[in-house]
Amino acid sequence: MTRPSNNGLLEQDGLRARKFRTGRTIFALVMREMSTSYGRSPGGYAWAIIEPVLALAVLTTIFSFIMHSPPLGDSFPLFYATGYLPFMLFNDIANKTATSLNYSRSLLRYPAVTFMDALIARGFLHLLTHVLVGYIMFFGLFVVLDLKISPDFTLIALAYLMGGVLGFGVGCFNCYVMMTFPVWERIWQILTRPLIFISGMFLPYDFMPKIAQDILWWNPLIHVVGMLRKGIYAPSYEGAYLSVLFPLLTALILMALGILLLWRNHQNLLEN
Amino acid sequence: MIVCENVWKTYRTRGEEKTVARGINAVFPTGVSVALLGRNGAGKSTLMNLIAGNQKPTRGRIWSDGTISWPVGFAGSFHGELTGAQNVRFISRVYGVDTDMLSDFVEDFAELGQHYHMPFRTYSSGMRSRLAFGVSMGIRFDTYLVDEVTSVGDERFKVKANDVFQRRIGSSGALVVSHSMGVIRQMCSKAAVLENGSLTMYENVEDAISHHMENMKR
Repeated sequence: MTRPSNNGLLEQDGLRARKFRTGRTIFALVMREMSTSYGRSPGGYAWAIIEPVLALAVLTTIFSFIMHSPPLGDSFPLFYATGYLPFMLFNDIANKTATSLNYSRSLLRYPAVTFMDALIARGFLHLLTHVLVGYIMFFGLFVVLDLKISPDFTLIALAYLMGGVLGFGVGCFNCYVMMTFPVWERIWQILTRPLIFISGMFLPYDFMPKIAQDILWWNPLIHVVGMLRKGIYAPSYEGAYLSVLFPLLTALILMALGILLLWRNHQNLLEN
Repeated sequence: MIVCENVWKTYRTRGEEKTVARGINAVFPTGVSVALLGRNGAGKSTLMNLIAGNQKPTRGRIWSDGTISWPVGFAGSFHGELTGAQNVRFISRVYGVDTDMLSDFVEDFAELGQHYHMPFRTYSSGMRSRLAFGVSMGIRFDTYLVDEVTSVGDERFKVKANDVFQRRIGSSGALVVSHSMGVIRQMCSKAAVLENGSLTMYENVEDAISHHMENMKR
């Protein structure tokens, strides 16, 4: 395939139908973001994991002095982490995916890099980061606090999948809207500020008044948080209200809409 | 071969509509270097972007049966925190070529010495363009897009760069935008003039240049 040629030039073909082109490009983009986002600090990508772990550890310590007995289980740190981590998972993936075309703008000048590569690479990298953060956090809490839990790993994986797909769907949709109407970025930030309080983080769905339940059931994030708790607190937490279909359907509709609109318009959006 | 079929392109800058292509039909044959002439703002770069696929025609379509490069010498994607070698590796991954081979080629060609393994942000502008040019030359494409060849390095390096480039486009083709008629005469065997949104192809470079010169006088 790659033989030295007689005129001394490399005879490597650019972009001949090689296999796994999308996969290769996504891999390249992921590697690039991993090695550049924390470029100057020693440790590099490790900070992407250490940072949220440390932040969470500090917050948990502070909160455990204020709230002693959590609504679920008997460990406040665990209760807090099961609410905060899925929220961050969603929020991070949604925001990073939404800004992915701007982030990779200069790379999209290469005809070989498509807008889908840019979207998927960012969504995937931040999903990976949060899975690692979650793993370290929960395993750490389990060991340090000597917790008596028997988690259901299938449900935990399902929760991460739901959160990841939801974040990616919202991100794809927002990517289009934010690039078309830049003011949407501000509006979105304001609109989603209360999200942390209405996703069942401090007050799980089962403890809410009926009226709040009726409304907040339609917040897809509440199902992600609930699913993770169902997995971590298995088998004691039932989460009878949980729906897998609703958040996934919301995610897929937004994703399809976002990708369709971007596919039609991304070149025009990137021109300006 | 690159074929433009009834290509229209209109874009809007500060509320003002501008049409740079009005039904362009053209064939750029494989293995031929074609110059693209036209005054400033005629839409040469836009046409180049349309062919590269970075922009979409308002109407019509462009298709190609071969591989098309990014603009030769494009350095905008190089990340300051990555070393020259890492930046090169990124491109070889994206273009599916052998990482080590391309990296070795560029290291040898760009003559950056130990700087090749230092962050790109520490490079001088000459080093930057040598690296960018080296990457472009390291991968074989059927058509190279050349938007204003920037002079790279000192005289000796220029001779070497030019030599490699000539061999590259000797076996492939190129689409060249340049304001220097010397470069056009040296590199191209065909030329096209872009004017008021229509493209006129000339089999002979001199005919195109005289047409272009007429346009410039007006």
